[in-house]
Amino acid sequence: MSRPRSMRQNARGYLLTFPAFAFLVVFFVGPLIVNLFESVKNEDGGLTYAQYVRALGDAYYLEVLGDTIVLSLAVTIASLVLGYPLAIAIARSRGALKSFLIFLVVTPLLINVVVRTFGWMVIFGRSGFINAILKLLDLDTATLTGTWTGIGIAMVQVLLPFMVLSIASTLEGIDGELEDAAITLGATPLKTIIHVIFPLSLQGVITGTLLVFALSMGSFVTVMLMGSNSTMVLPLLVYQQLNLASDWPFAAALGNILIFVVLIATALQLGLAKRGVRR
Amino acid sequence: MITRLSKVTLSSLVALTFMMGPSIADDPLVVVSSGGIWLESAKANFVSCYEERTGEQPEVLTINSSEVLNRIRANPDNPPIDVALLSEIDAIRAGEEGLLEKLSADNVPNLADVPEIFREQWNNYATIQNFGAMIVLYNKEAVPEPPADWKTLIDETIEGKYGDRVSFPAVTMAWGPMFTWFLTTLYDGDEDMVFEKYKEMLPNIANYWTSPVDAMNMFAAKEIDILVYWDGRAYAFAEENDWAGAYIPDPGAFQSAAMIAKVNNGSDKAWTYIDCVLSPEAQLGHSKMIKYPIVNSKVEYPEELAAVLTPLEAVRQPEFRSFMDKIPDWIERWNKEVR
Amino acid sequence: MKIRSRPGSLMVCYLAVISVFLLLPQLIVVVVAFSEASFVSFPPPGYSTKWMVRVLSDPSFMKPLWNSVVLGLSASIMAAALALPASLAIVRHRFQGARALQNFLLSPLSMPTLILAIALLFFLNDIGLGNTYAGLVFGHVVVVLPYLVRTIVAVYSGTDPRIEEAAYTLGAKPLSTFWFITLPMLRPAIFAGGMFAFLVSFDEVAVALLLSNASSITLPVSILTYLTYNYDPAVAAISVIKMIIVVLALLVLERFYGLQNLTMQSR
Repeated sequence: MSRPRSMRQNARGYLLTFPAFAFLVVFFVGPLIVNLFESVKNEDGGLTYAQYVRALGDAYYLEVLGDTIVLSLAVTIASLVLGYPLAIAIARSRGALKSFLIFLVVTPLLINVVVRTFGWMVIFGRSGFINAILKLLDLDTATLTGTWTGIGIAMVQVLLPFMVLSIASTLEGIDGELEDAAITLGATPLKTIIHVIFPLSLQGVITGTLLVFALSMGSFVTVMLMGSNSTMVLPLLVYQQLNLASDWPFAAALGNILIFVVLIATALQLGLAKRGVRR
Repeated sequence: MITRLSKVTLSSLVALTFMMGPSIADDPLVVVSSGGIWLESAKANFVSCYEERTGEQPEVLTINSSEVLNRIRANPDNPPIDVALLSEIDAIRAGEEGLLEKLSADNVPNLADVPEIFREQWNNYATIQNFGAMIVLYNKEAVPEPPADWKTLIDETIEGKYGDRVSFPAVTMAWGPMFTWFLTTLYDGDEDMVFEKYKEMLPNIANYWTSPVDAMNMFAAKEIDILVYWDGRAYAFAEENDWAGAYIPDPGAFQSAAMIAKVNNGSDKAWTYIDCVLSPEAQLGHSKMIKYPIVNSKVEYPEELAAVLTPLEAVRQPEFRSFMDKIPDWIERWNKEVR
Repeated sequence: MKIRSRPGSLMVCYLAVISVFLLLPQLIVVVVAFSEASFVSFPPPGYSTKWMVRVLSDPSFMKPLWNSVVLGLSASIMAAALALPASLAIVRHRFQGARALQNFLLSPLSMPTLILAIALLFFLNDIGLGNTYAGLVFGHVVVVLPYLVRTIVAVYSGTDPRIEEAAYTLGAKPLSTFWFITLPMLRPAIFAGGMFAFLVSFDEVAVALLLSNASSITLPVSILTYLTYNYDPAVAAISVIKMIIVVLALLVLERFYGLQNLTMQSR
């Protein structure tokens, strides 16, 4: 695959990426620097690491960071497992069915998160759907509101479209004849999926996991509405610092820690993608 | 080739964006309101008065207090907002940071009829425009005799008298710190005691609410029997539903308010708008629509309105400066301890 | 064509379950939108269209809805114009630092929008774009750009470079190769990425809360400020209207273009 890199290749590459690069340098790196500065400045204009020490030197904040990462990983994996077959279905269907499936997968994104969470409260609440069914079956009732499980389920529902459409768009590119060949050669459909389709859709899987992981790491409204103090995530702490404590420096520091973690995760995933493609 | 094309497309798009985007009119007065019924009332009562007096139409922004504060902080020399609507604590912060201009009866004649108490703590940088209180909404069928005072309510909740069918506001709800301050006044100013009570109540409450919508829904679905909630909404719900009742436990409730202020370096027309907001006619009209008490002492409420308004004697105005610096600590303590 | 032509009973079962999972919360919202109560409650005590009528005739919802559509389209189109050449270069030109550059173009994803919003507010004021519509659009472009970059890169790296090389060999100019060969191959990517971009902008609240003004206020902002003090089913009604608009958009696409063409690759 690798060809020698010529000067011309380089020049063209830089030229084509320049607009996007320049745009982000101004409108993303600019604010990033504002934010970084805010997190390290002290009252008399000097520099201080105090905000970072406050966050990283406190077992509570580390625990919350850990919980946030675990929740995001769980949501990402669940979305992948649940969403992969749906992505195949979308890629392989045509006409009205395809439109319906695409509509199905994007509807959660069309409803404001506060309103959507209300829907989940109705399903999970004490006198909600699930408990009504459990009662009917004479089973013990369970409350999922305020638990990690409930929060995770609600997040998977709204993040699924990112996983499913990412994978579906790469699956579209795979030649259907490959599958047919595999099946003709005696592979079961499941084996075909694992050994033929999945490796070919790896780019889409990486895209999906990347988007879902980053989005979970940054989302807090669902946690705020459905959770309690025992289910705390880092972006919710950022929200509290900004809106209630009016403490931008600390919020900025917490935000930077979050950015750092997600950047590392992104780099790792993209590295994985490269290895996967080489294989 | 492609780059040139994309550059052309890009620049024309940017140009298009500027043209298509809602243009910012010359220099209308920019005021703030909350959404929904509040916006309707602002338009019907304040904006109409301002139009009558000046012949101009103000722009009404619907954003919350922290966004107002951040926006005027970001551009203090040329603020994008002329008349700010702020929470009590944000108004104190803004005043201290030099972002607001002092109100006086010279600039705002109707201020003469607004009692001092409504702006004292803000050093005249802002005045309360309307206020409310946090009271108890309860299910009459499940709790025929609700506790008469706050301390009893808390202790009976800890004892488990109401199962876990009680909901209090969280400290991290927007007015949670004010509620926490109010509770400290019940326990001789002992914060540790209040947090201890929060912790002890935890096993026997449904939740500490942060979203008013969800809290009300839990109550309406009869998942909880006692809800500590806003007075206006609580009275309205009790009026519509026979099984629900609302009352102010002893020794009263804390006052929560919307603050109106003129932004420093903003247009001087702001004075006219604020004067409109504080005029007796607009104040009464506002109160009728939003069902909250207002501040102009010339206003006399009709009887049926007075019946659903929390009287000024029953509310206690928080001593904001005594606890506003503790809020970050309270939030941290709440997060760490009450779980 | 076995997988394609015969969805097994297992697949049908799975599709049924996942449909319920994906739709149930929205169905509840639809029911609430037709409630006659003035409080949000489920199940509603009675049904009426009053909230739908109210919302449809309320400019404080309908204008932001239109603003959100315009903003979503402007931001997505501008982001696509930036992302497309960059992604092509990253995949095909394999220049030095291409991977680092891809990382960089994806990095806005890692920034919580809350933090981005407040930093942008102060930054835009510093560079003279404070309180402008352009500032709001640029803010949204930053937020949605990674979705387009990543989707296009993923799909494009799965395509065969020999197809484009063949076109060059046959004497096609770069621009016509791009137009007739590359762009059609990228259709699924542009569709999926553009859809993400639009929907993310359509629902973005943190940046819009700080950067929009009275004339550019977006729907999520008006919903959020509405919800601060009002607890009636109006927000459910506006959500339903939002869903109907997207259904109609999908139907129109289907009718005039055939939706399958959007994600189907021309081979």
